[in-house]
Order: sequence, then C-alpha cells, then structure tokens
Amino acid sequence: MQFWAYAARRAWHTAITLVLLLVFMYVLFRLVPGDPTTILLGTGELTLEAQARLRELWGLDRPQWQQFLTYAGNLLTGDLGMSFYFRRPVVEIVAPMLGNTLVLMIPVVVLAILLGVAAGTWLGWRRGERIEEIGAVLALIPRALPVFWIGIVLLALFAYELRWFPIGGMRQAFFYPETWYQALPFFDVARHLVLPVATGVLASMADPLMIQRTALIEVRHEDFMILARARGLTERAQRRLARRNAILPVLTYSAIMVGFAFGGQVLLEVVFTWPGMGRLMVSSVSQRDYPVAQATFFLMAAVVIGLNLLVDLAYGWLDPRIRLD
Amino acid sequence: MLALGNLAIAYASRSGQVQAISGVSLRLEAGGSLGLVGESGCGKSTLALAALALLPPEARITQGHVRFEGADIDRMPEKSLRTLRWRRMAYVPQSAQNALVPVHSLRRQFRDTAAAHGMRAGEADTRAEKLFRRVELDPAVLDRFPHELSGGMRQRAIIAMALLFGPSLLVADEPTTGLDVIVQRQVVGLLRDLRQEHGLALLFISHDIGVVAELCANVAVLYAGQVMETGPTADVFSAPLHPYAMGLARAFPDIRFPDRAVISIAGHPPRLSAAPTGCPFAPRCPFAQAVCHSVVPPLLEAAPGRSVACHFADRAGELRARASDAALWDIAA
Amino acid sequence: MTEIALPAPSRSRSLRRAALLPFTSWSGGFAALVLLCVVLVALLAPWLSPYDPLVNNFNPAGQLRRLEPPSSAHWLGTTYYGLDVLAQLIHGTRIVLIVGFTCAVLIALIGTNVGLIAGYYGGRIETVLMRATDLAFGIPFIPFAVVLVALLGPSLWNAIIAISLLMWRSTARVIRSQVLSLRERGFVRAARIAGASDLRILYVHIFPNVLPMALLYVAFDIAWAVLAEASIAFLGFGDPHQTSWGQMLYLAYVSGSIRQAWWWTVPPGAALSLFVIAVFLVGREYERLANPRLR
Repeated sequence: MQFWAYAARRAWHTAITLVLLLVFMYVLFRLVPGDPTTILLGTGELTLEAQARLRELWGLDRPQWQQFLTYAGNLLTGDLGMSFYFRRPVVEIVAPMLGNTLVLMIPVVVLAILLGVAAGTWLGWRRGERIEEIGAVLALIPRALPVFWIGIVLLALFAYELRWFPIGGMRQAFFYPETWYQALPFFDVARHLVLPVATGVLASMADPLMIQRTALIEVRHEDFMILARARGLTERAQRRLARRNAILPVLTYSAIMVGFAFGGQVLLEVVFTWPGMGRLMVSSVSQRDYPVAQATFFLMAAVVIGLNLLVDLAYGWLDPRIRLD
Repeated sequence: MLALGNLAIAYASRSGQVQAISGVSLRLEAGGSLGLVGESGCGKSTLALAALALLPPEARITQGHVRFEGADIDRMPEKSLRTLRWRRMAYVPQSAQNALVPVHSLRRQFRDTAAAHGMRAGEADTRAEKLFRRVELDPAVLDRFPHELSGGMRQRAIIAMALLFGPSLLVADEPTTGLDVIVQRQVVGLLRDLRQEHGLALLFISHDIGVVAELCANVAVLYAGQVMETGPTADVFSAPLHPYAMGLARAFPDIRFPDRAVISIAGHPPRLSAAPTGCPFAPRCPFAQAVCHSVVPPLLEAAPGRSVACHFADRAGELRARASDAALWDIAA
Repeated sequence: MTEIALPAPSRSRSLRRAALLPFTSWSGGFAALVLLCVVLVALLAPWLSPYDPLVNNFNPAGQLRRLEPPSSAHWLGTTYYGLDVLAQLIHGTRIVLIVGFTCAVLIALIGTNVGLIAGYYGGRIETVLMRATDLAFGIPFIPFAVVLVALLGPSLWNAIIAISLLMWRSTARVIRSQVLSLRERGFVRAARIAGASDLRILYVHIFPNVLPMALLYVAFDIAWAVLAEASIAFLGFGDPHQTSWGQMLYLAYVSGSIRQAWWWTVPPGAALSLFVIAVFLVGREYERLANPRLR
C-alpha cells in the first residue's frame, strides 16, 4: 500500500479541518456584541463619526464572507493585528511567549510519554502478578488529581517550605551564580523548570501508561507472540516485539495528549507564573485584548491540528494496515 | 522421537483449576506422522503447545513428561530450549490474521528468526527465497506485509518459515482450517511432499478427519482431554474400536456410500471445569453402561499398534454394526 | 474491537445486577460508596452545612475570622475572606453533581448521535461529521472554555455549555467505529431486508448495542467535566455566586494564601481527586464487563 497516497489524503483532511477552524474562530470571536470598534468606543477615544470611518477602514461594513476571507488571509499570512492592550503588533508579543511555552511543554510531553510507556510496558508484561494489580490502581491516582492542585501542593512544599526551588517564573531577574554548577548555561531556567515539569509529568503520564499497559496485555495473547517464542526469540526480543505492536494506540493518543497538554499548560503557567502563551491567553481574554487572544488561540489550535497530522503520518508509516483507512 | 508420557495439564483460572489434559500418552517416531483429532475444546491445541514446550504461564504440567529426542523438555530451562526451538522443532499455527507479526514484512520476520539463532541476514534472505519458491510463492512476496496476503498464501509463508533451519519435527495446529477446499488441497499436498523430501516428523492437529486421513499414518482420537483411541489411520476409521471414533467416522460423508445418512453425535463435550467421573464420553455414548459412568477406562493395547480406552473394546465388532444405524445416535445428552 | 453482550432476557434482573456490579470488588465497592456519599451530601447540603458558605464569619470581638486554622467552631478553618471552608466544601458537591450530570447527558446526546449518524450513513455526511470531530479534537479545551466563558459571562451554565461543546468528541469517535463494525452484521442486514427504515435500524437495532460503550465513556466524561469546570474556575472564570471546589482553589491562590492555609488548599483538591478516582474505579468495573480480556 502506498504510503504517499495515504499521506496526501491525510494532508487534505487536515486542510479542511484548518478551514473549519478558521470559520469556527471567526464565529466565536464575533459572539461579542458589537464589533472591534465598539470596544474602542468604550474607552472614550472615538467619536461616533470617527467610529464610522474606522469601520470603513477596517472593512467592517463589507459582507460577512468578505470579512471572513480577509480575516483568514490575515491569520494565515501572519498578520495578526495590533494588541489593544499593549499597543504593539501582536506578533511581537506572542513570539517570545511561544518559545517560553515550548520550553516547558516539550519536556512535559516527551517525559510523560517516555515514562508512561516504560511503566506501562513494565506493568503489562507482569500481568497477573500481585504487583501489577496494585500498580494499576496506583497509576490511576495522579490522573485524578487536578494538575493545578498538584502544582499548588508542590509549590507550598518544595518552594515555600523547603526552599529547594524558586516560587515561580522562568528566570530570576538578577542571578549571580555562586558555585560551578550554578554557572552552567541554562541552570537558572532549569531550576525554574523542575517543579512545573514534575507537576505536568505527574498529571499526564497516567494516560500513556494505562493505554500502553492495556495494549501490551492484549498483544501478549496474540498468535504471533506465541510464534515468536516458538521461533526461539529471546525474552528481550519478545518484549520488544510486544512493545512495538502495542505502541500504536499510544501514538494515536499522543496527538490527543498534546491537545490536553495545551490546556494543562495554561494551568501550569498560571500556577507557576511562567511567562508563556497560556498565561498570555488568559490575561488577554480577561483584558478583552481580542487580537492577542485570537492569535494565541489560533496558534495553539493550529499546532495541535498539525501535530495530529504528524501522528497520523507516523502511524501510517509504522502500521501498514492503517493505510487502507 | 517425541513422546508424551502420561501427561496431565491444568490451567489456572479465576474459578479454580481446570484440568485440560488428563493422562495422555502419545508417541511419534522420527519421520512418522501422527494426527490428533477431536472436537473444539478437547485439548488438541494444548497438547500441541505442550509438545513444543510452549505452554503459557497459567498452564501447569501436573503429571507426566514430554520427551523430545531423548531430552525432557517439559522441565528444561528456557535458555536451553532456545537451542532446540525452530532448529529441531517448528510450529505451524493456523494462518489467522495475527499469526505473523502484522507490522513487519515477511522478509524482516525471516531475518529476525535467523538472527535469533546467529544466522546473518544475507543467508536468511537466500534461504527465504529458496523456501518461498518451494512452497510456490513468488519471492517478491517477501517484502509484503501479512495482511496483504490471502489465507492460503499466509499459510504457505508460515510453512516456509518453519522450514528455515530444517527441523526434524513439525507441529501443525489446524493449518487447513479456514481455507477453501482448493487451497486446502494445495497445503495438504505441500505438507505431504515436504515430509517425504525432508523426512520430517509431523504432529498434525485438526478436527477435519478427511485431511488427517490423507496426511497421517497414525491418528489419536481425543475427547475431553483424554485419548480415546490410537492406531493407524486407515484402521481407526474403517474399523474403529471406540464408540466416539465410530460416531466420528459416521459423521462425514463417505464417497463410497453416497446415500448413507450422515449422523451427528447428540450433545456436546463436558465443561472441563466440572469434570465428570468415569469415561468422559459416557453421557453421549449410545452404548454406555453403569460401569462407564463410574470407572475411567484405561488406555489398553487392543492389537499391535492400536490402543483404545473403552470398557467394551472386546465387543467392538458388535458395537460397530449397531453404530451404523443412524437412529441410534439421536439420543439426548 | 470489544464485543458487547446483548442484554440478558430478564430486564429488571439484569439492571439490578448491573447496578450492583461495582460492589463485586473492593476498589469498586469503595468507589461506589464514595459516589453515593457525594450524592447524599449534595442533596442534604443546606442541612449538613454548619454555616452559609457565602456569609462572612466574625468572632465575638467583631473581627473578621480571616484565615483561621481548623478549630472547634470551624472544623476546616476559614478562608481569607472569613468564609467557612467546610461549608464551602459541602456546597461544592452540588456543583459537582450539576456539572457532572448535565454535561454527561449533553455529551452523551451529541456524541452518540454524531457517532451513530456518521458511522451508519458514511459518505459525505460521515466526512463532514468526522472533520467536525477532528476540529473538536484540535481545539485545546481550556483556551476554548476560557474564551467562551469570558465572552458569554462567567456562569455555571456557560461553563457547562463550553464543556459539552467540545467533550463529545471522544464518544463520537468510539461510537462511530462501533457502528462501523455493527453495520455489516447479520441482524442489521436482516432488518434492512425486512424493509425497516434507516432511522429505525439506527435507533432500534444499532443504538441498544452501542449503548453500553456510550455509557462507559459518558461515565469517564463525568470525571473530565468536573475537572474541567474546576480548571475554568481556577483560572478565575468561575461563577462568583457558586462555591465550586475549583473556585476555592482560585481564591486561595489569588489571595496569596497557599503558603500557610493548607486547610483551605488541601480539602477541595483532595475532594476533587477522590471524586474523580471514584468515578474511574466504578467505570473500570463496567469496562471489565465490556472487555472481558481485562479481567
């Protein structure tokens, strides 16, 4: 089965989804009564006459579909407008925050998947033994804990009480290294990362763990596993084979997980005052700074949709059966 | 070269122990062929796995031994077993969808098997191509994935892989089930030819008596985890000694007697978790007497090379005559 | 895919057996008890709660009881605003039930129908519905909920809408794949040949068979919905007139009290976790029913 035909089909689906996203956002952000000029009107800076001229300037009097096309065009070409609050181009505000968010999010997602798969494989291979039953229930617990609560508890304990880690933020304003390891590059960011990453990983690793465990249990019963043992493969090779066949559900899930990760990211950034896109989004919504809110929302959604596509492609590459889908 | 001696196997399940096999003894000579027939759930597959020391962890051998080429493989450590696996004994399972690794190409699976025994990829490829040609598969198929093959092609690929190291024993578990008749024919013919070429010993599990009759010189009839009758295939089915074998022989249409009614043995096999006393077939046997329900008949040699487990084996001739009446089998279980 | 056992002959007997299923194991029984307690507390809240959760408490000297640790007067202490923590905890169960139940119903309605229709009709309809589901998966939940609640105003109802508008996505996908495998089964074909209309086949024949799976996912969705509402509240977009557990944590954080007021920060989080774990464990029991291999 040709991989490229499958890839093309998937890319086409993603394009449709992106268009739907644009329409969706267009509608969503116009739920506010009035239009962008009304907000400025409220600040007392516009006369009614000036407002009419502004509406014309911004094309707000043109038919909806035309407005939508302009809107979509702008978003896709990166013209994200001006922030109401900061009076600067949105791109300038969002770009650095995006980097900060990724610095926190990528370690969380990668570690959660790696640890979750490892633990899930370990548990699944030992199915039937006492330790597995207990382990399965224990693994459920972090999943149930609200991520922001874990954050608060860890903060209270390790940052406030024990003072092992800083209370929040990404960097210390004036950091003077005193020992050799403190002088290592990125040390300051690293020590700010520990608590938020620990919180995020704790909360997110339960899902990959359970999925991998269930998948592994199912795979172990498959005929080809018996045949693998009959063929004389070592136990390591058998386990690797099981893991390889069981990993596909986790992979599908990892795309969904990134979607959740953004949500969790927002909470993490708020609790740990991390200067990232999530926190920016929440504050911009509270301040009615719609251009910024829109831009961050679009970026997050687009990244998730893009990642979904990547995972679909990876899945199609790894499991040839799926290319018929 | 393969001997199961008074073997008993039990599975541990949530509701307690289930005795899947009770006191089975079988022998297979080098280059010989033994068919194992019986209904679903009679323990054929368990015996096949036991013969290869492939029982899952929840199955325990509670009694007896499995001897292969002089060595007791039932209590051998896995490490030593690995030297025997595939080199001396190979497994041919039913070609279900997931019998082969779904995400690897066939070539990859050959190479992995070869690598597990220290053979290099190049030589694995050469052998694979040769074997594929022998089973009448285009070597190009090696680069395909299992789900892209038809059932018959998959079965032949499995057989080809089993021959990778030229084993002396082939254990085939229902290799023709699920294939259409024409393909069945090909697979049976292939197995027969391969046996002659390589002098393979074949342990063939099936519920299809017709196929067993074609391939196997000897047959053992299994019921509820116990052997009912063994002997040369032709003899067992033309002149069965055990009522169950009599029923089975009459359950298939015979081309010599096209108008003869095909019977079906009323009732169903017992649930192994609630093992009955006495002969396991007694509830369904049209000739059962009081002794059959209380005493387990031992497997005794009735003639050279033929054994049967029935209290009334000496009256087999008379019972056989009565068994040819189809109405006799319509008793409620 | 999992095989669903068709309902046993005696309806009421199997229903009772289904209801008692969680109690067959220790974890399930414990979890079911927890959930029953939550329901009871929620129903009896006005009588159980020692104080009004939204009324400030003052000591005899007329000072606001601010951030008092647990005492005999206030078993779980007071908040920065002088409100009794235990009272808030008790009343919070109502939010949990309202949100959980309403969202579950809405999610079940939307998700199951989308899955049924997409899986059965196929073609264009399926493409459109599945792209919509892809979109729902692509939109990160918290940002969306935050935007929606900010735009529509912070109220419990808006939170429920925000949650339900996205969370139907998993149910839809699962139901659709179930329908895909059921569509070609014998009993469906028989019904079609007998001349049953599509709608009839869909809702009378196929729907009862996907119902167990749907209910299972809905059960888990209850837990997610409750966590989602707590997250929305924690970000400051909760309903100011309600005392949700998430909001308690928001106020604790925002007033800078997390450093010392463990009596304020631990109970709501623990209560949330306990509730969610209980839902998971009960759901796991029913999951074993649907997928015997997990036993």
